[in-house]
Amino acid sequence: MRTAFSHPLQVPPRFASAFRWHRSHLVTGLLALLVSVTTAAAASAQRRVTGRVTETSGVPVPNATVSVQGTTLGAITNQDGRYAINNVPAGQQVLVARRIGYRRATQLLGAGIDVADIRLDQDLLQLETVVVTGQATSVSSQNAANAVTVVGTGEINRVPQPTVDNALMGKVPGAVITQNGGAPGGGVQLQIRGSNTINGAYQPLYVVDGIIVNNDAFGIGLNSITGAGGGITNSQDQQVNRIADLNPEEIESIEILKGPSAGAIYGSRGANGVVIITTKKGQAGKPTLNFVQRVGTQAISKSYDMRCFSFADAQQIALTVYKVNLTQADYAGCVDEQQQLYGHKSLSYEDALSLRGGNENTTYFASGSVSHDGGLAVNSGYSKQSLHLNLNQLVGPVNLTGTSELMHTLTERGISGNDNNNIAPYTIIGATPTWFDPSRRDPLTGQYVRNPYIAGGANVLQDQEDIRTPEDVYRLIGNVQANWSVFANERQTLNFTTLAGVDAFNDHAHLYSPPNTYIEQSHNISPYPGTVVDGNTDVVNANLNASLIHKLIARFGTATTSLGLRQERQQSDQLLNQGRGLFPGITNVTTGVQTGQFQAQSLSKTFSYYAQEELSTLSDRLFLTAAVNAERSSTNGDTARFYAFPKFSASYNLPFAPTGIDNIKFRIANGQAGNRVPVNFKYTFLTQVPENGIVGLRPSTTIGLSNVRPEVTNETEGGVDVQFLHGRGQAEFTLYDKRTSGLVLQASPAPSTGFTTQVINGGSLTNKGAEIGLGLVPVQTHAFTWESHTSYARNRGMVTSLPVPAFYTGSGFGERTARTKVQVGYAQDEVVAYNGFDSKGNRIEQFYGSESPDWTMGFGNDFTAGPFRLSTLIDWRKGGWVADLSQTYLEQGANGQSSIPGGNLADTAMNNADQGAYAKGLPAFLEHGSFAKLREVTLSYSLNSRLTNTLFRGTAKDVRLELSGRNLYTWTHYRGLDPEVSNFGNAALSRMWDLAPYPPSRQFFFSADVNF
Amino acid sequence: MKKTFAAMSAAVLALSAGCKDALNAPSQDNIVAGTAQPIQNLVTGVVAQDRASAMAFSYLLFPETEARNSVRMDTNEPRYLNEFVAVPIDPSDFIGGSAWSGYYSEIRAANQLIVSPSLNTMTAGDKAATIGFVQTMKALDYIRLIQLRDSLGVAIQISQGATADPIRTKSVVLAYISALLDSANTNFASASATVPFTLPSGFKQDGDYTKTANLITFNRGLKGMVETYRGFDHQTPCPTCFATGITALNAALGGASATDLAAGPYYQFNPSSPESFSNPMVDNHVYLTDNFANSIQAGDLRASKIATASSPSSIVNGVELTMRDPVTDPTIASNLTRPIPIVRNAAFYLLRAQAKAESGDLLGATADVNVVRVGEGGLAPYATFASLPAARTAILYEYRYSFIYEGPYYLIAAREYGTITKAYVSQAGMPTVSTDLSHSGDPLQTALPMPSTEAAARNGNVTPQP
Repeated sequence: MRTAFSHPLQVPPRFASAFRWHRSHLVTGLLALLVSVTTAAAASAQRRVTGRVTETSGVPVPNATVSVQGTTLGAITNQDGRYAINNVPAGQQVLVARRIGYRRATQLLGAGIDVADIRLDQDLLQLETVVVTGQATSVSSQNAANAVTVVGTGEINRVPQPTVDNALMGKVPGAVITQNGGAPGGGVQLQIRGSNTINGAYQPLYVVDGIIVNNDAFGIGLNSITGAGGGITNSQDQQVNRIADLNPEEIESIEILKGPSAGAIYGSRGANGVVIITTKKGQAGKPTLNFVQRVGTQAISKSYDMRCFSFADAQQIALTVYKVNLTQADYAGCVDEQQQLYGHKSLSYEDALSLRGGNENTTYFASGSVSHDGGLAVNSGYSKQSLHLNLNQLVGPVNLTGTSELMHTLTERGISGNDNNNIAPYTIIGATPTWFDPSRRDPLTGQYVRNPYIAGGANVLQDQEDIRTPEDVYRLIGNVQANWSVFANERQTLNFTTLAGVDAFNDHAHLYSPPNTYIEQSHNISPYPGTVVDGNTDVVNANLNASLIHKLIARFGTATTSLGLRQERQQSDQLLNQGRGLFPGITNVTTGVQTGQFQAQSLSKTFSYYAQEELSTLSDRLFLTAAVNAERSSTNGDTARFYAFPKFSASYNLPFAPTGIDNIKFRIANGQAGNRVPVNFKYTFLTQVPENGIVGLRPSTTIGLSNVRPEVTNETEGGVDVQFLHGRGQAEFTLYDKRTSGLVLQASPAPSTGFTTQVINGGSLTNKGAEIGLGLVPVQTHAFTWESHTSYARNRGMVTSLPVPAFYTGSGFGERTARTKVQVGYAQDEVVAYNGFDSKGNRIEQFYGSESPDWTMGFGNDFTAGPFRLSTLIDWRKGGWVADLSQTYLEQGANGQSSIPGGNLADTAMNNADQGAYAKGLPAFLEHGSFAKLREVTLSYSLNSRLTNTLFRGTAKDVRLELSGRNLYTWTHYRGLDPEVSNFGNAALSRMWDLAPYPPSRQFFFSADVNF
Repeated sequence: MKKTFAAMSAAVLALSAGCKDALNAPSQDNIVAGTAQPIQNLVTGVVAQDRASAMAFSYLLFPETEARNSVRMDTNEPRYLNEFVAVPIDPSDFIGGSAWSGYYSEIRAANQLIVSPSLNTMTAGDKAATIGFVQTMKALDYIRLIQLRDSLGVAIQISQGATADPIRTKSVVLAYISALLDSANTNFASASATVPFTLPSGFKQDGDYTKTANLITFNRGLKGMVETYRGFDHQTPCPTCFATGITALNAALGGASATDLAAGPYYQFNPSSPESFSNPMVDNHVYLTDNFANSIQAGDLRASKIATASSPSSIVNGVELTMRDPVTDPTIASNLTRPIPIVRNAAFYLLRAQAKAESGDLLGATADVNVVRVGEGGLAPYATFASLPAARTAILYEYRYSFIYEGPYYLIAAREYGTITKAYVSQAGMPTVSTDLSHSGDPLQTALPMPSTEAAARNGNVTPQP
């Protein structure tokens, strides 16, 4: 047997000795494990136990797990709720029945008894979910040592959701979710328990069915026409984070590990939390066909109140401010350009069909869906088609599972955000007086009329109709998993699990701005009218996991040992080709008078070993976990070195409880996780600067760090969970303390050194916070049930040390508006801005506080009365700063270009006050971003069986009709369209920019859900 | 059981084999510094970075806006106007923070090239030519830095890596540049006749500046410029520097007989990929102020630089301009590739005229001014200036109309003469300097501020050291 484990694992010489220790222990552990397997005594008198699991009402519960406590024996109920367990030891035993959605039930099985029916009560508060603890292990939430949020398919799809990240809004305590704007198709960013980094990755890791998937965002070249930044593309392209490609309809559950104490097993990518997505799987039973159809529409949720002018005033202003002789014929009164542009009532729809079934050897789930999310403006929208297949086949002792998700999305988000060419809608709207009607047509050309009130003459309707921004993504996420039951008896199991998967997609963008628009003709964009950008991005992520899991059930409890390895490869290649100077109608890049290219390539590889020991003892009241992940990565300075990320946790359910209390659990967890070094941070490049046909080389302005190592976040989390009112109440209280050290900083050395950026490992920061959850079922009668969930979360971040002087970070527009400054003693996302002048005429820099909210709360309520169910979700965010540049755009045009005395918004006193304050060097557009939002409302009605039979002639089992809405109302003092937007969302810090976004919408749907 | 373990072993072996792949994964962009690179590429890197730094609004336009000769009237970015009036320039934004890091990036490139091991593979003459050329380009960068920051001083990059050297006073910096140019000149003296690398076509635009002899004139012209600046240095006056400057400028101009005012190395432009670098002054928003347009003397040929724009500018903060230099017009395709001088003889004439006038040689100053006035303006020559102020006024005029969009010549001369307030000419609708703020020490924007990133990295300590 030694030869089986004597293969020389690839260890560099300098670490060979350390690794020999690791290897020898690995082998020793496995030997001991196998010896114990082979020597276990198993023979005793046995029997076959059968029975039925039902709800209290007698309705059978399929797919429930019934097990014999203290053994590995168990079975899963069929469609009728029946089960059979062989080889049950003689004597008195305890049966345990479990299923997600129901509270666990135990039943005594007397000696000689071989029939046991079990009743399960519904688990309205989800007290007994299953949470992930390792690469291939999980535990009941009753024993979980962390506050893990699990969002089930019901919550995800209670209201039709365009993307997965949208679906999480308001449902994850501790998560702050921002979005580029209201444009359809995503562009949403998630940050959990504050930022652990200054310059590193800030979003959680996304794992789909065990496969680490890509959530990068890629520009489509929008910058080529907006000139928001430099180059063909940049971060202001209103990018979509690609997790948006997943279809929420295909998701069974989403589990969020919020920090290193829970996600340490994910090594150098677990610091920001892990979002574990499990797609729908097959279930044994009769085939079930489900069909869902949804139709809906949307409306702009808020628009600016623009100023109206009398003809006399308009004529006078047109002449004096714009040098335009305004005639009565051209005076259109008070035109609502926002409504003209964003009042497009397009249809949204979704059709989803799924088939699920199988037998004890084979299960399957297949589904397909087609959806379209209409945008507020013409030529904007989001279409998605997906095919999902899950097949599970038992082949002897091996359980083979294959899952594939094939997706296609077509996103067209139009133009929005920062703009330096007078092309984006709110740039134009903010600069255009309301007496101008852009919907008028030029009688000679038939074109929309030229806008004489803005440089370049852009007509907002012409831009929206003529400029196209499609982004086509074809994506495959697939995996094959083999779970080999190497050995099993009633006391021990040994499983070997392998998982190989791939996440591959092609993202094809084709931006086209025709040469005959006013804005292109004006040369505002470039000297050559007409712009096309053709972009292709190829991404391949490949994962390979292997785990050996041994479970031993003994008198002292249950011990689960996991050993494994994981390899991951991530590769992306983005190429954008730009052509300028086009013939009308020709969109071929090569026909451009001027062409240019942009290419970005990235490759990283990671390899890790992990080991985990879990012990459940004291009648499952005490649950202990110790784990370590040792990982090396190509992005580290030393690619051969393994970095260890350990984890320890304990939970204890008290054996007693005061009157009225069902259970009290104390939990504590500590873990380390890393934040992977971004690709290429270890290199100092020579930058290419071509001239006259010769490649010039000069030192890069960035000094890399040749021995750079990953940031490490250590989190300690503790809390208490209390269940009361016989399962109708639960309270969770969690405190956490995260400390990140060895920050991978892109510090700013003095530019006079010739370097503007220096990669440094050093400095530290903390995030400390509290989370409280309260679940109640205040009323639960046969006729009416009220279920309520309340959550509260707060986080305080602080920079505790820096190896360099304080520095500014992130993108922005100068300190007259706001900047993010990294300084010891302040939040890592501290907002600073100039606030007037001192007596010497120098600007005063003032620290205002964090851009992150002070706290967040969520209120979810479900009311069920007979066939009716009403669900509501309110999302409340308090505090946090927003730099509201949109307000400046609207008050006096982008950066004051309209120059109308008194401004362009109806509230002229506000316009004047803001402009006056800004002129005095005050941060007039820095605002609090507090809001409360009616995030979701759903009213559903389940048809009774008689009506269902009548309508579907007996083919349908149940039918549910729903009316639902998203983001229906917002309570806020914030002056902009939405404080949740961010022009620079794809960054760890300095995300507080509201800059002329695509306006958010409120959405309405009608749905029919039929099970056949 | 044996089969079981054999299979498990095979699986583990297979997985381990799959993990053998080396983790070192350089991307396309990984060109790691430190290895010997061809001198040609390194020289092109210096030259191209020089173009990238200087051929930008920060060098060509901002000084003209400070002097109120020209403004970029972009409604979408009114900071091109309002940052230069009424309030101090924001040191944290793209105007106040500009014209800094790019020059230092080139200086870093030059410093690395000068110690490059690849130089040792060259002949002594080629090595001297290479070092002399790179030193001259490096000096040019320091000149531009101090031109734009003036009395705030700049850092002299000595240290390696990210260690910041102190900010030095203007006089120290000018002395350093002067010595650097002399060192380059010494290298040129023993250099091969032609530089051992290919330079961009602009170096042969008007005169062949790939030849060492011509590079020496370029070098001496810069030396003369620096010495003239030292002569005008208000903080540390150097009366003798004017004479030194005249000597150097004489060497640059080959005596007083040279009349090719346009001669000099040029920046060339190519909008096509991969170079993608157009003439930066081609911009639909750049306009001339009314005062600039209206103050030109009758008959001046340089009036060709002033034309009524096809459409007035956008109205920014109440200001509207109507005139523009046709070279900024994007509808004229040839503008995109129009070369811009790095420095040309006409500048050397006016610098020498300044030095002579300050030295009391009004006759010589008049002659030099007239070379430009007649040669470029087509105007009648001046009679000998009756006074220093008269000479200064004439010099300012020539700078203003000969060097629009070529660099901060006019602004610097006005600053030197203490007549900067006169540069703040009235412009209809343009705000006047604010009086309600207490920054009376430097109410007029005559220099760009110290970038906030530089100040932050020094914990705010940017006081220039002697």
